[in-house]
Amino acid sequence: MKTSANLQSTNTSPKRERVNPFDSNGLADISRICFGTHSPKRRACIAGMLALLTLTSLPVHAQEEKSDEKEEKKKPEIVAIVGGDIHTVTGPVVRKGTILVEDGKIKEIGQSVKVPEEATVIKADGMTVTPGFVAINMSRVGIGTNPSGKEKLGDGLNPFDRNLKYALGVGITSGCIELSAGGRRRGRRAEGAPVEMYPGLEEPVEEFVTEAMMDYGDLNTSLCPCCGLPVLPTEPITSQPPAAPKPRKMAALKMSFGNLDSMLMGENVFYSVSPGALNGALAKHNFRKNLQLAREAIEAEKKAGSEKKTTSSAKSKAAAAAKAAAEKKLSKEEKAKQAKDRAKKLKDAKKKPKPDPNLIKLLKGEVAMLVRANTVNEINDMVDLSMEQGYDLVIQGGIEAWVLADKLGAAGVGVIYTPRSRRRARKGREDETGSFVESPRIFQEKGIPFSLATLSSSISMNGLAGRDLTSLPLEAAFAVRGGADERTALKAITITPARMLGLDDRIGSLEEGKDADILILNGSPLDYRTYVEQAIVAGKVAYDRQEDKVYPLHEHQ
Amino acid sequence: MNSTINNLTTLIAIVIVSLVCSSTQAQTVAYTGATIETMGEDGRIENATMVVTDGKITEVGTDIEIPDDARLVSMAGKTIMPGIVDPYHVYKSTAPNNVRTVVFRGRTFTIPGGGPFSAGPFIRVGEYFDPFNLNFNPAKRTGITTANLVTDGRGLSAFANLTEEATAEMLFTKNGLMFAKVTNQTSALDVVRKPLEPPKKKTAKKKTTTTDDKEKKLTPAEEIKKLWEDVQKGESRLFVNVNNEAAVAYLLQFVEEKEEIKLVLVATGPNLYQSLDQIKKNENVTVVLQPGIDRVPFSADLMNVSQLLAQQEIPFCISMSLSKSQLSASQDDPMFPVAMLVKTGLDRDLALKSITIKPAQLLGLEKTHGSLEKEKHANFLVFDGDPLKTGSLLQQVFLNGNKIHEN
Repeated sequence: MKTSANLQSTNTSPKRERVNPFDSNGLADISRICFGTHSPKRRACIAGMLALLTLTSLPVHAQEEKSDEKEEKKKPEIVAIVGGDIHTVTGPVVRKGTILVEDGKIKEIGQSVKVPEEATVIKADGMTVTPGFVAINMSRVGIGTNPSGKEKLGDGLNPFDRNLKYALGVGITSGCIELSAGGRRRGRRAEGAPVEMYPGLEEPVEEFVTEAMMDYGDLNTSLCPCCGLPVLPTEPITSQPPAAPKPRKMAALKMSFGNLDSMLMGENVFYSVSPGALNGALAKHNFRKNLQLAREAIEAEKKAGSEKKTTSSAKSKAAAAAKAAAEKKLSKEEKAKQAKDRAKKLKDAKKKPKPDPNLIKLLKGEVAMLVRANTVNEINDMVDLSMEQGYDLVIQGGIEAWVLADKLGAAGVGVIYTPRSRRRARKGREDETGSFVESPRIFQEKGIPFSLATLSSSISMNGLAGRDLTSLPLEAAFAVRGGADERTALKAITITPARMLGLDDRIGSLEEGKDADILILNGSPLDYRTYVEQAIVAGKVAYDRQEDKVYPLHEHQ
Repeated sequence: MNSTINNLTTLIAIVIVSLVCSSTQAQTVAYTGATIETMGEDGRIENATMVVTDGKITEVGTDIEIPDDARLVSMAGKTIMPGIVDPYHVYKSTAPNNVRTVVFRGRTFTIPGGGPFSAGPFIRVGEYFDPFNLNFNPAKRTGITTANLVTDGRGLSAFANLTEEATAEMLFTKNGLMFAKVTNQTSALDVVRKPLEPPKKKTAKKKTTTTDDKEKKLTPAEEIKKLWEDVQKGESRLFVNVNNEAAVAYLLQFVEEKEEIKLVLVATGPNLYQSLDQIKKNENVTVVLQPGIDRVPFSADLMNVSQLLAQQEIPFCISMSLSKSQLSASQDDPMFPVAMLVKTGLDRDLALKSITIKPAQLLGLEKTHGSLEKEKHANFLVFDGDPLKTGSLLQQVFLNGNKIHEN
């Protein structure tokens, strides 16, 4: 999405083109999967900025030189990780290579990298070096309490939270935190959402599934009190003042222990709505109306932009002069009438509902929609809506997504999947309902970008270890067991979630210019025996197995 | 008869008055034969004499001419040290956020439970102070003679001498220093951040005009504004009590660019422990912490944060009252937690200074308080041995030459 390949493509429709990102040399292609493609408008913006840059290149250049001098005095912090096998994820594996980190960013990767004298050298001989893992779904890490009301997330972080160490201990260096948790799993248990108490173990409660729900899927059906037949909701006759669904707060955090400055990577990284917000005809109608409002706002913005460009200063001056002359001629009565009109317009404008800025971002492709959907019906519904309205979609859960793999692949919809989540198939429909062990293989084959989430999003040590956030690499191993290859499984906890968050220019792989979030592992990243020896976050050692003593210190033979 | 009675009463009155006068007349007392921890240039003096006149020290040393009219008090075998200056004495919890009053459609409702964090009103301790329902006895038993009184919320502190009886005259400086309590929440951080934002140009213009027009009394709001301006210019110190480790990080981040601000960070050892490097970067940060050995966060290891601060050369003071339980528990060996610090590596001299002269300097009282030197106030403690030795009892506490506590 931020590559030259994408900029070259002339595809201007919001719908994305189909690329198989997992072909033999699909490293470059994978970046074309759309979690926020550049809209044509943005491209124009970039072009404009480039033009500006060229115009003002001379003074800018001079300034740069000055600032360079200052930086030289400061002396950059240089760290060199030497001797490990470097899994870059988006590129080849560099055996016994060196990573040079300068001021928290990766400067160079290779086998013959010169290590400057002043560099702090971290030896990684015989170790595996990978990018830090990205947890796409986590909660209660790095913050004390969820900020409520006017409290800002940026003021509520805790860089010394113990959970950061637990996360770093399994290799998680950044992730997406859900702030307004709660209610996600309330009710609708029949839909098969795992229940928090014993995630992954809960069976769907059959008695809640009424006939109506079976037949009409996710429509908000109720039974008629007299005849017991389902009452189907209808499209509203008069347009109601639609209230935009309130997205849940999501933010991307970096697990930079002890370093407050680099902790908050981004707020509102997803347009995350509860499935209920888009469920049923009325809700969908409201959502469409709100999208329409947002679209109009975008178009108005575009228009305003183009008008500004076309009217040259001379022209506008002339026009203004003519206008002033015309105004002078107007009689008092006419003026009064105009004023009245203006007042009326203002009043109308006030009455008119304002577009939701979150939806504008969604339509512009800056963020993707994140919605929990597990059954075929739910997923189908959400995918249809996203294709109709042209925004990026990420399905969370996706237990039955394997049934719709072709459609999802064609639509370029991403899935956040938990290989160990289970859902019992419905009687008589075993071949098209329920969870399927080989889902990861199917996702990979159909080119569905999937990232892996753990059964429980928080860190819990109360006897449930193995199901909480610290089991993220284990979950990747289970994806391999389900038929995905190791590369894809590793991508599913690094670059794919980074793309979903729109942060693939900073995290998710080891490339020059990216954030130096690097793991030094004593074995394969997907082996259950592997420990993280050191986790480097933003160029600083944020976790050291020997020092922090979070996980056992014994070595496996 | 009447006349004689009258004469008698007048006589008695005269006698009483003369007696009172003689008792209040400058009584000179010489304390002899003591080991004196002066905390000044002379350091520790053995077998020394201290002469006190009118609540002030006139002489300290070994070769001193004791005035003829002086009363001699033998302090042989005892150790005298300056009275403890408490740099952050939370004398009262204002608890502003227990009840909220809400006006809705003309009716008033009180709702139990406040917001997540409300800073409460700006409290001027000098005016809010009510000595009659306060108990300073635990503090006096600990050897605190002078305290910077603050509350749980925010406001302007006042300096007090802990006199024998609590009176309004305890406060000898009504306008002390700014203080606030902060946690890692927007509303809490804004208590400190908002008033310290760089002033906008518009307001600056307005100010000049108002000062030109009338140089009269400032409104309370304007006064508070001026107090914050002083803090911003670095003319007065700002005490901030931070209640967790994250808040320490936020506050340090906030003052990083504001080099002028002289910040006093009031925090516990474990909360400070992980931010020591950050604190060291800013020269204008002083730390106030409670005495004692702390546990390394998430570890069974113990640590002496005061010593770590000393190693890093970060200026720090110790407040004996920050831990209220310690304050009331320590009956007659109040120096025990300080002795623990010395036993585990903190320099003895530094430890004693961090409860006497250093807090005095922090409060700007170093000319009168904090050490036993010529012309300073005679606030001192008498121990029956080395104050930092287990078994040494605090026997007497003197404030301005008057005994305020005796064991």
